[in-house]
Formats: sequence, C-alpha cells, structure tokens
Amino acid sequence: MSSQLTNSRRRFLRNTVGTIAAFTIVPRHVLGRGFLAPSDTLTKGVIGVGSMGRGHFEYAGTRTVAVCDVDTRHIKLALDALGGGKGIKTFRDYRELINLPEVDIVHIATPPHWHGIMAADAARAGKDIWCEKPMTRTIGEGKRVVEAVKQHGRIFRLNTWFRFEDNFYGMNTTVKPIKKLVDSGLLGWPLKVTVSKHTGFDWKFYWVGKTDLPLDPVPQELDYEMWLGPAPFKPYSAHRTHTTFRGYWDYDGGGLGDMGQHYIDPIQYFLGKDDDSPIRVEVDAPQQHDDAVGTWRRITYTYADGCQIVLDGDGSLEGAAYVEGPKGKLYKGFNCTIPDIERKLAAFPDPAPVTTNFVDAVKNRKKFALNEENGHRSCTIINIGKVALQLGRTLHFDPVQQEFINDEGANRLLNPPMRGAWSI
Amino acid sequence: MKKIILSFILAGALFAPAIAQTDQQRTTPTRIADLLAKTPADDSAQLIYNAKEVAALGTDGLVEMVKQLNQGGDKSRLHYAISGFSFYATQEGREEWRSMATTGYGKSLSQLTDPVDQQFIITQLEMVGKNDAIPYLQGLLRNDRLVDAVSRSLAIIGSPEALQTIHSAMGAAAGASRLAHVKALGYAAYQPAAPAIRQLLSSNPTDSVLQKAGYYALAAIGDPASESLLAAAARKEGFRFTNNGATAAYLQWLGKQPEGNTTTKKLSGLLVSLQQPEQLATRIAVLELLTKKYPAGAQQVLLNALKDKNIAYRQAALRFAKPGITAANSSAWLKSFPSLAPAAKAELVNALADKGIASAASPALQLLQSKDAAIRSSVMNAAVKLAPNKALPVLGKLLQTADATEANAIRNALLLADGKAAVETATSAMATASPAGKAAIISILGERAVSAQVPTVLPLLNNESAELKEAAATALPKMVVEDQLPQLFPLLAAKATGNELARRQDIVTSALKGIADPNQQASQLLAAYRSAGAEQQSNYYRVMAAIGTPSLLEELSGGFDKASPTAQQAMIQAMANWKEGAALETLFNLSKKELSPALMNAVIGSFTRQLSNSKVADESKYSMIRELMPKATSVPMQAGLLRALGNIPTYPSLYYTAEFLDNASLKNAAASSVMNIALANNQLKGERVHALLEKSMGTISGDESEYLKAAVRKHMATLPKEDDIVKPFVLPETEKQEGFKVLFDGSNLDEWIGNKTAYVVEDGKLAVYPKKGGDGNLFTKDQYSDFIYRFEFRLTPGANNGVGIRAPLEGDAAYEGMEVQILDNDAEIYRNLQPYQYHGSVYGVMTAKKGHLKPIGEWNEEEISLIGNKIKVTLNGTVILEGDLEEASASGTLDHRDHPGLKRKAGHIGFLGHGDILYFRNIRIKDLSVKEDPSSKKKKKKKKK
Repeated sequence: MSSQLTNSRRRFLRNTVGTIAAFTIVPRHVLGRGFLAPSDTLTKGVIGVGSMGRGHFEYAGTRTVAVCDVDTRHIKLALDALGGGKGIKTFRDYRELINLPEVDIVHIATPPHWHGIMAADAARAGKDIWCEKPMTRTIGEGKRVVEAVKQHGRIFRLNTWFRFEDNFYGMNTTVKPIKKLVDSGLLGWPLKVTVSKHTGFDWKFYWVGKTDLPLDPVPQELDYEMWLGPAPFKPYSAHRTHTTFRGYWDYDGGGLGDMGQHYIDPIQYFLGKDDDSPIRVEVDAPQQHDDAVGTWRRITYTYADGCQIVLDGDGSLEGAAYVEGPKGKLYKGFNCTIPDIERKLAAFPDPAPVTTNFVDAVKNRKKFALNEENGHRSCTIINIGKVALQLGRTLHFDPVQQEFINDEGANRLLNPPMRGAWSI
Repeated sequence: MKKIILSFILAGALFAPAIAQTDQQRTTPTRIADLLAKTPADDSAQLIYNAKEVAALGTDGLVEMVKQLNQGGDKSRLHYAISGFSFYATQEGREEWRSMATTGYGKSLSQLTDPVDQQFIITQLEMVGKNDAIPYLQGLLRNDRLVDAVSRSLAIIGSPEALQTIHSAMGAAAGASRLAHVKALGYAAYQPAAPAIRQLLSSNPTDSVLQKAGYYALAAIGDPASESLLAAAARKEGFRFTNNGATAAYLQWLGKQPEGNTTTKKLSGLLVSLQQPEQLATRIAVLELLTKKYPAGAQQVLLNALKDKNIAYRQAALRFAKPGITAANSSAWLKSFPSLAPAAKAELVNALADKGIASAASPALQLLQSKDAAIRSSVMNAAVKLAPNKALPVLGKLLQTADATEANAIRNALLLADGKAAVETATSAMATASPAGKAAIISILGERAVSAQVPTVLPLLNNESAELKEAAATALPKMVVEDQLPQLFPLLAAKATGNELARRQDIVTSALKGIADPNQQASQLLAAYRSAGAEQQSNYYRVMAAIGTPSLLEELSGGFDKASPTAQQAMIQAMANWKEGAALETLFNLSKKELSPALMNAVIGSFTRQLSNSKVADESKYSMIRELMPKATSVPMQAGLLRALGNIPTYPSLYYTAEFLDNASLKNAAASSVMNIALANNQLKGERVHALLEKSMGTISGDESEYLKAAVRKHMATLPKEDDIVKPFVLPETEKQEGFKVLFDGSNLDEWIGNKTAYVVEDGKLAVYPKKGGDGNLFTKDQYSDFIYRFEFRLTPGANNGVGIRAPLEGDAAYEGMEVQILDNDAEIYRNLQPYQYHGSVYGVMTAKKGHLKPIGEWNEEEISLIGNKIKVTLNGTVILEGDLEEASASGTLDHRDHPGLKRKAGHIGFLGHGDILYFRNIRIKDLSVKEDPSSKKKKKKKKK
C-alpha cells in the first residue's frame, strides 16, 4: 500500500469522525410521520436487534410486537429500549418470529449474510418485509428474494431512502431535481456519475477486516452457530461479529457493501436503469484477502449505452463533477454548469409518482418506491463490484442472465451453496 | 497525489526485471519467501506477476508453500499468495495453471494438520477444481468437520462425476455428512439422486433437519415421482410456510412441472381449496404458478381473481397480469369492469395505465367522478397520464371541494402534466378553490416557478389561514424574480419574527440571487437596508449573510458599536451563517471588544460555526481558537472549539488539544480531535504523538469507535517513534580521522547509481519501496576492492534485502559478485531457510550467527569488512561472520552452485532489493582498495590498523 493511499484514507476519516455517532442513529425523517389510529396500527417483528435493529423500533406507523436475536445481550437492550418490553415476544430463531400470526411486517436488521434467506422465508410466510441494506450478499440470493416476494404477493422495502426523500449527501437537495435534470436531457447522454469524497460521499474505509484474526472464546450470551447461519464455519473471533462484521466477505463487503446501496441506488433510479445492470466492471485496488475486506482505489461500472458510475476510493478524482454529460455537468451542492437550472427544470413535469409511505404501501398493497426489484438491481452493482474486487480483474456482466460472461471463476462466486441445514 | 498517478502509470511495467533476474538460481524456500514478501499485491499488475511466480514454483513448490500453513502464526501472506493464485488461475485461457493449482492443493490437503487450513484449501479447490479435484475431495465426504466445505466444492464443480461422487457417499453416511450431501445434491439439482433422497426421508421421519434439506433437494430436482411425498408434507403443514419448508418445497416442485392439463388441474384444485386466511400467501403463489403453467387461460384466471375480496390477492393478480397486458388483449380487461367492485376497478385502471393502454382513459375518467374521494384520488395519476385534456378540468373542479388529502393528490397529479397545462388549470381554479385546494394550487405555482403569479400569492403571507400562509411562504422563494424586488423588500419591514421572518428573508434572498453580478446583489440590498428604519434593519442581517459580499460585512461590523444589544445579537447570529465562512475574522475581532457574557457567548458560537467553511489559513485559525478558548465559558462551547481544532492538523493544534484530555467533561471532544489531527497529517510523529494517541484511544468508546481505534493503531504502526527533525549525517570525529567517507547522509543519492525509483530519500533515510518499480538494484557509483563499509538499517516484518559486494552492475549480484544477506530471518515466512541464508551470511557461501538483530522497527548497526579474501560482518557490536572466502569455498559452496563472483577482485557495493520495504541510513565507507596513486595508498595504509 502506498503511503499516499493511506494518507488519503486518513483524510477520509478525518471528515467522518464527527459523524460516527450519528451514523447508527435513526434518521430524523422516520420519526413522527404517518400517524395511525391505534386500532389501525400495523405490527412488526424485528430480527437482529443490535444498534441498527433497535433503530427500527422508531420507524413510524407500526408497533413492535416481537424481537429476535442470537445474542441475549441484544435482546435485553431491545426490551429496555421498548420500555421494559411488556407484551413483546422474544426469539432466538427467526423462523419462530416470521410464523407469528400477529406480526404483519418483518424487519430484517441482521448482518447481510442473513438478509436473503430471512426475506425469502418471511415472504413465503406471508409477511411484508422491511430489510436493511445491502439487500443480499450475493446475486443468487437476490434473485430468490425477488421471486419469493413476487410469488407470494408481498410488499418489500429496502432500508435506504435517498431515491425518494432526504437530502442526498453532498448534493444539498433530494434526488428528485437530479432525476428531473437527467430526464430533461439538458446534460445530454450518456452520463458519468462519480461517487467520491469530492462529490460528497465517504467510502468508510475503516470498515475493513483483519487478516490475522485472534481467536476468542465465544461469549456465553451469543449463539455463534446461529450467528453464522448460512455462512461457512470459521472459528470465532469477536471482530467477525457485532459492529465489525462488515469487514469480512462472508457476511458483507466493507464500505462498498454497507454504504454502497445508499449511494448507488439513487443513481440507478435517476439514470432510469432500475431494470438494468452494467455490462462491465473494472477495479483498481490492492489485492483483497480471501476473508478480510480491504480498501480499493477505483471501481468503474459501464452500462451498455455508455453511461458510467465511477467510485473514487482514494479521492484522486479531485474536481470531478457528480454527474457529467456531453452538454453539462452537475457538481456537489447541486451546482450546475447550466445557468439558472432550477427555473429551467421547473418547466418539466415531475418524475413518475411512487409510493413512499410504507404503511400506505402495505395497507393498499402498492409496490414501494424502493422494492425487491429495483433494490436487487442496485444491490447487483454492489455484488458485481465485490466479485471484481475479490478477483482483482475486469469482469463482463450479462444484465439479462445476471451472470458474468466467459468467467467461470467469477460465476462460482455468484451463488455459493449455504452451510448446514440452510438454503434459500 | 502526484505519486499515486505515478504508480498508476508504472503499474504495467512493474519491477519485474528487478527481481526476476535473481530468482532462477534460488532455492524454492527462498523463492517462496520472496514471493510471500510481495503479498498482498498492490494492484492487478502485481497480482498477475505474483501469480506467475507461484506458477513458476511448479506443483511441488506449490505444495511446499501450502504446507507452510502448518507452521502457524500469521498466515495472511500465505492466504494472499494462495488465493491470489487461485483467482488468477480461474481466468479464461489459464487451463495449465488451473490444473496445476488443483493438483498442488489436492496433494497438500492430506498434509495439512489444522482443519481451518484444510477448509481454506478446499475453498480454493472450489474456485479452481474440475473433475481433477474429485480424487482429493471424495475422501473427506464423511469428515463431519469438513464435509460442508467439501460437498459445497463438489456441488459448485457441478459435473455429473462430482455429483455422482456425493451421491455414492450419501448411502452410508449419517449426521452432518449426510445432511451436507443431500443439500449439495439439491443445490445442483442432481436428478439421479431423487430416489435415494426420498428413501432417506421415509426411513428417517423424525430427523426434522434432514427432512427439511430433503424437501429442498427434491423440490429443486423436480422429479415427478416426488409428488406424493412433497404434497403430503405440505398438506400436513396446512399449506402454510413452516420451519420444515414443506409448503415452499411443494410450490417449488410445482413450478418445475411442465405446462399442461395435469399441472393445471393440480393448481386449479389447490386454488379453490386454499381459503383460510393463513393460506393467503400460498394461494397467491399458486395463482402465480397457474398463470405460468396455463398461459392460454391465464387472463381468465386473473380476471376472476380481481373479484376476490382480498386486496392483497387482487393486487398480486394484477402484478402477475401486467407483463401480459397489451393493447390487443385489453378489451377483455375493460369488459370485466361492470362486474368489479369500485376499488378493484381503480386497481385495474392503474395497472392498465401503467402499461399505457389508451382505452383505459374512459374508465379512469369515470372513476374520477366517483363519490368516494379515495377512489377518485387513486386514479388521478392514471387519468392525467391517459387523458390530460379531459382530466385536468375535472381536477380543477375537484379543487373546489377538496380536503387536504385529496388536494395533495390533485397537486401531485397536475405536476405530472405538461407545465403549462398544469399552471393554467391551477390558476383558473384559484378563485373558487377550497382552502386546501388553494394551498395545493400555490404549491403548483411554486414548483413551476410561475413568477407572473407572485402578486396573487404575495398577499397570502398575511392570510389568516396558517395553511395558506405556509403554502405561500414555501412557494414564493421558487417563484420570485429580481424585477420584483421593490415589491419584496417591504416584506422585511413587517413585524415578523422567528420562522415567519426567516421565510420572508428566503424570498428576498432568492430574488436577489436572480441578479447575475454579486456586487449588484449587494448594492441593491444595501440601498434597501440603509433606507429601512432602524428597527427593521436587523431583519436584513440574515439576507446579508446569504449574499455575503465583503461590502455587506463591512456595513454590518461598522454599525456594530452603535447598534442596540438586541441588534448586536442579531448581527452576530447572522454572521454565523455568513457565506463561505468569510465572517470568521470579523467575529474574532468582535471578541476583543468589551461584551456582555451573552454577546460573547454568541460571538464564540458564531465563530465556531464559521470555522469549517472559512478559507483562513490553519495557523491563523489555531491562534484565534487559542485566544478564544479562555473566553468560552460553557462546556458545549469549549467542546465546539476543540472539535474545530480536530480539523487543523498541526503540532501546536495537537498539543494544545491534548491538554484537555484530562478534563472530565471535554476529554471526549479532545480525544476525537487528537486522533483526527494525527490521522490527517502523517508528518506528526514521535514518542509524544504516540503517547497522546494511546491516551486518546483509551478515552473513546461506543459502537463505531472500534473502527476508529483500528485506524489509529494502523496509522501508529506506520509512524516511526523518533522525532521528526532530521539532520544530515555527519561523520563522527573518530571516523573522520580514520578516513571514512559518507556515501549517504540522508539528503541525496549523489554517490549512487541504478534504481532511484524504488530507492528514495525520505525523512533522512534511504527508503526501499520495491512496489514503486524502477529497474534493478542501487549501487555505489565507485568500485571498491577492499573496504570497511558501515551502515544502519531498519527492517519491516519479513523484509529481505542484501548488500552486494564486489558486484558488477549487470547479472545476479549474489553469484556474479557476492551478497551479504539482510533479512528478518525470524519471520514466519522464512522458517524453511538454510542457515547460509540467515542475516549476515555470504549468500550460499558462508553462514552467519543468528540472533543479533534488534527487534523489528529498531535501527541496527552493521559493518562489513572485506580485505583480500578475509571477510568480517559485525552486527550491533557482535561479530556474526568471520572467515576466508577462498577457504570457505575450497571444497564447493554451501548451496552447491557456481559462484564466479568469489574470484572478482573489485566491484560496486549495492543494495539488492527483493520486494520489501526497509530503510537505511548513515552509510559510510573506508576505502582500502589498492589505488594507482601511491600517495593515497600510503595515506590509507597508514590509518589502517
């Protein structure tokens, strides 16, 4: 690793340290919205009640009736957070929770290696689903979730929201005006989108794994076998699990895996590629360890029509525009090279309407704005990037078959079998 | 930055010549060690290079490398080398490597002792294996610890032979092994195994885990003969999803059956029988399967489904129907309308509209006239999309009676229409609209930036209705243009406060920003400000901050002293948000005035807010903060200043921040700033910095702090502990008198030739960064025959280098000249080395004593003395090698290789890189070579003792 790279990573950290505490806290926008009469209140069961999962108690419009975790310390914290937890059912095995008749919505806030299997099972059990990002750890699991949700007529939402609300990181606006700008054609086509600290995004490179993990005794409160679930068996080390699991390929994929969908999902949306995927991914990165996720300098995705998404990991793309087209550029803070852009955009019709209230979606059985289908497609970008990083080479992807082209090694990472009794 | 670009350019032509030249003659352990030292690869070019190195080891060499996993310790480099090779070998056109990898991994598997390592190698076979991997894996199919990985590998290999191997093993297996076999065969949908799996399930009825895996496998295989078993299992669960997955398996099995009457009949029968509420999800799934397996009748099935009472069922049916809806078959859908309930009608209209079916316009318009507001609202978007000309007047009319919910739906629908049409509909409905309708119209005027309607909307800022006031205040900033400023400035004269005032200020700001030239913006604003009454002037401050020119700041600070305390407070608050942090120094100057505590607090608060955007130099920010800190009276204020110091990565800022680490209420802020400062500037180093970072790490806690601590630890590991002031090396007086000459004093490489790309001067050291590339080694520009050579070196873990002596510039210096090893020979990767490869050895010829290196990270002192055939190496004061080169090689060398260099009389002295980072300093030489100039010869001989 060159000292320059580590140096730029340090600068990254410096920019993010102040927000660390805020990160796991529930976004403001989820509080206090969508009030329902008590008789109307939908119920939810939350699987995975670490700090992320406990945040799900606050999502408005629904009432928590059950929690599930493989660590009894989390259960205790969850019950405390729920005011002592009177009347709340607790479980260690998620399958008991998803079969509860009184649960309408299953929230999945476990590490990502569980997302696919839990979401598919919850759909089969007739539950609607609110799933943490990234949607699934592999493309194979994602396809099964899409099938199961659709086949059983379920409503699914992924827990990122920037495509439809909230300020979009450094853009100082919601995504809507970006979508309008792209749709207006004023920037021309094809477009290049750069996700960089220079355009307002942080790749959280401190979410890396350790390559020489010390072995630790399994804490008495933790059911490690169940924590691993479908993941390959590896001896316990505390660093694999709670709050640091993101650094291991078996469970997630570092900053790309865990923040990637926040950043990339809105791009798929405003590029109008919700049913498409890139055809090529190129990586420039130090070699990745087979177990521990490392850092990277650049990941570049290219679509069939020439549009590109460039992920700038080392911050070397100073001065990059966020969206660049042949006729204009859009920079951080919604600064556009096209003069008086706000007024020009006012003349264009709004983007197609979507359902952004989850309670409304569940009650009226409307597809949610960010659902299993477009969520799977944006997660696919993360997942093909992870495979390219692991292999350290350029990959070609078929968006229809959702397979790599002429690369059996890469395809072997698309949908590996699950461990033990688990299957999706 | 520049350096990163450089490494990108060089990536293609990396350092291969520098190292490859020396490797052909080296022993396998050396080659493995050298290879491991080059992991992890820094980029894909090096990854390929390393993979080639592994390939060059051959199968036996690969086995030898894999077996090093048995040695324990940190196996990271082995993991990198092995998995890097596996990944590369899977690439198209690498069949030879793939096959070598399979054989090598396969052969080593039985020689590994730790199941964790075995599992790692099995996972590599999962990447590279084909049928050639089967012989190595099949023996482990009943190993309960490894069977999961083994059957997973075979399933991924997926050939009939691989699957047959699992199938054969399953018969006699039990427990975890049997379960893994069933799972793997299901994953690969291996048809021939179906009878055996059914047999297993019926003979083990109480093994619920096995039952579940068996259902899964039979479903994936889809063998028609599995029907009775799966159907019975699902029926037993009441066709509900349960833990054993029987219902899910039955559905999956059904999905695998061919189209045709038999399947249709089964599905139709199920659809009728599944009427319990808890069977809903299964019923929906059956509906989906039926539309797939019975395409000819799908439309009718789905039409019937729309009559169902359950909305989830209806909406699912429409979702299944959508892909098949076309203009051609739309009439059948439209004909069904009269038989549907209103809600179902609306759902169908929306589905048809999504597919762009124009003939759905008429039912959409009909539903728009429904008496049920929810129905009306639900079809508005569809009606606007399909028939805007007819829908818009209806929506305009509905605005007369709309409540808030409906008005919002109308607003959203109108905004989907062409801009002009929506605006016309909205403006013409304004007069007669309900209050909620009016608010919706104003919102549309805002979204469409209709400046012509500003005169209509402006008075609503004073409307009695809070709803209308709010709508107007939100819309107007988007509507106003600069020409309207004369009508807008009076907004700041009114007696508004708080949020209401802020909204008015936003409106004026927005109009001002319509003027292209900032100076023009400022002069218009100033003119209005100066003509405003004294009481209203403070209403302008926030606008001034948003426009933010120096002239405005001057105006504000110039009037500060004469202003009332209330106005002063408002000025200070406005300055907090001054554009681009430009009010920082003004605020600092205000802090020097005699201010009330309240005003001083406000100044410090605003100053802190301006800091991050201010373009003032870090040094100035630091000194201002220091001066302000004693004036900050509350903990939040002090903490704010401390956090700001975290963005100033200098020594003074670091040390000053650290003074607060012992303050109970400020230590958290101080700790995070100390860490931020250090992480942002790797020039900050030394014992004191280390100590402060340790102390700070002990202070913070919380979920994400582990990552931060890890980053700090990593950072600390790369920092040397000595302080950073580097003076050029000067010969000690004794050496000066003895006639030593400095070859490297920490400032330049003037005495050296060769690879100055990988060998660079850094902080007074000669640093070796092999990954930077360049070609070959680094040599003295002069040649020497006899000499005393002294230098210091610092190793990194596993580092390998060497001092070439009497070396030519070309060829392998270890053989064409001689090489005195420099090596971290205690590193795990070097366990298999021969003694003649230890640090200080004359490579391949004479063995040095081990055990006198200082711990990694500390500086070692070394002297190499070579006079005639006599060589002596002294490390940290201990002679570790001494002898006669001729005698040592008289009966052949230790490595049994030819060393022509032993006979060379003179040559260059050089550093022979092997791919590792390490450092040298204070390099000097006493030249004892026999020179032609007799006077110099004499002189030197004299001093020799």
